[in-house]
Amino acid sequence: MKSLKSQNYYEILSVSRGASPEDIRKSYEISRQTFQDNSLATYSLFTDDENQEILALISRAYETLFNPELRREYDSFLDGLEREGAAGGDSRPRTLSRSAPPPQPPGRVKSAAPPKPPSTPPPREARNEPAAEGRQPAPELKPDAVEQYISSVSCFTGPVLQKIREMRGYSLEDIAERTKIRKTYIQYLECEQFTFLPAHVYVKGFITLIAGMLNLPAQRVANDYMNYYRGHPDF
Amino acid sequence: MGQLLREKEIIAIGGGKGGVGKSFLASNLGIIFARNHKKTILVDADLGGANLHTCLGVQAPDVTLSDFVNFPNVRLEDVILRTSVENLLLISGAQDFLGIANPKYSQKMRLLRAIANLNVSYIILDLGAGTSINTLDFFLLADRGILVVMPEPTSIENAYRFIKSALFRRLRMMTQDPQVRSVIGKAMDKKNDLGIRSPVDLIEHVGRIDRRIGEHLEEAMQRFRPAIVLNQVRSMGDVRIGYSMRNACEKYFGLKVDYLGYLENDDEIWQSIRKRQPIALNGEHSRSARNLRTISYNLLNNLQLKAE
Ligand SMILES: Nc1ncnc2c1ncn2[C@@H]1O[C@H](COP(=O)(O)OP(=O)(O)OP(=O)(O)O)[C@@H](O)[C@H]1O
Ligand SMILES: [Mg+2]
Repeated sequence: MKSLKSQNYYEILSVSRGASPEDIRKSYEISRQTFQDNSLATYSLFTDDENQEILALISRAYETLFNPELRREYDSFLDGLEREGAAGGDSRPRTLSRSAPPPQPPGRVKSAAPPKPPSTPPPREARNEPAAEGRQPAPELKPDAVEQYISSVSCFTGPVLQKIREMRGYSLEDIAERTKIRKTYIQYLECEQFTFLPAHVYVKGFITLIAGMLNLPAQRVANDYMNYYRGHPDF
Repeated sequence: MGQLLREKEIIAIGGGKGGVGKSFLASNLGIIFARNHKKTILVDADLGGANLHTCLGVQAPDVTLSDFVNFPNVRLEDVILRTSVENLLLISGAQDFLGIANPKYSQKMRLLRAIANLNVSYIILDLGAGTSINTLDFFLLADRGILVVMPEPTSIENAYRFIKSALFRRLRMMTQDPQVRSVIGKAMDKKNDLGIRSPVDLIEHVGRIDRRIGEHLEEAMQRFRPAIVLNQVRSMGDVRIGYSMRNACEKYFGLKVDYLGYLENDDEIWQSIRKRQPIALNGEHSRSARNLRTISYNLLNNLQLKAE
């Protein structure tokens, strides 16, 4: 059994890869009940903070798996990981080896988040995301300017992602650490040097992870990126 | 009644807390199996307060486990009693709980071996309350371990403590390595100075000391699969606690736990015990009898409740 942080979304929701949307919803409901405040079943095992952290993971997993497109994308990412693991060999990116699977895109996929009831206090999960890694939240850089820039973007290319990353105040190391993607890969993706990158399925997985990390609509960003570079000679 | 999965199956019923319905469940499962033509022995392994015979409506017996434990020439077969149910046999617990409540190690091992060698389809061990080493060893002897839990804080806490104690004892038995054993011992205390918060952390920690032992323990952990039965539920909310416990165990202990089923709070159960007439025998159409059939069906078919 893997620690919570290295479980994939299916494992987090305790459902199988083939689970129906209905199964996923049910399992989500139960998981939410389980880790809600003062639940009889958890109060003696987990602290409030741990419960909140798990709840955040659970809702992220649900948001991805309950959305057919995001789920398809996530599945192909997992398939990629598995093929990796099975193929072995030294050429595989170390961080994606079987011993350290990073199947949780760390960011929140904004476009997929269900509308929040107005009474909800400022998102608890937000507090937990960077804090969960024991780090300070990234410096908030005039959020309005960033959001404005993002809404003006017509296509998420490498340089655009770099710009958003910098506006959000993340270093390459920050992203590498949280996505478990090699720093050099992130750099290659940003400055369009495709020669040393692994197969497309990974590239797409990487972009999905990075976009999530940057709080961008992961699926749209990944599609943009893949379509934009499709004709590129090195891609 | 489903397919028999193995030639012989040992089922232990514990739960940590007293009075949660362990003996009730044990005796009624025994009756259900026996009625389905499977030779079944109920063993009253509550070394402190044997009363399984009462649940079955059997008179206080002449021969008990104490005879087996105290006299090397007595065989376990010699203390088997018949019951009023065909195919259902009983090994009654000690009445004089003085000597036998704390058997010597060699006595205990002889008992465990003899139980494992009984020649029947099902052996059901009715455990006492608590998490004493003897109770854990009976639990770990079994192929299937069931915890009876009531929907209340103390019972749930006790069940978790039971699961954790049993798991750690199993892991400790897997290795002779003194350093690893000492780590496992320390990890039992939640506030240990190694930063080990859960069994998942423990396995990781051991893996860093010795990768092979770490893998070995991880396998043992995957095979350890206790089941829970919720007793005395009064609402759907109570029923759902079982799913939540399953979830919490998976996230906290890293263990798969099967939620076999629940028993409603039912006056007839209380009455049946007062009248010393087991539900599975005389109240076949009651809700409790239905609950019991679900539990035994899931148990024998390796199934569990599915959330609605
Ligand atoms: N579902 C139920 N509805 C109503 N009463 C119940 C139910 N289950 C158990 N009881 C009551 O709880 C009492 C205790 O049950 P039981 O003796 O089986 O518990 P136990 O766990 O074996 O206790 P001990 O720890 O003392 O061995 C029974 O006498 C019975 O009256
Ligand atoms: Mg009892």
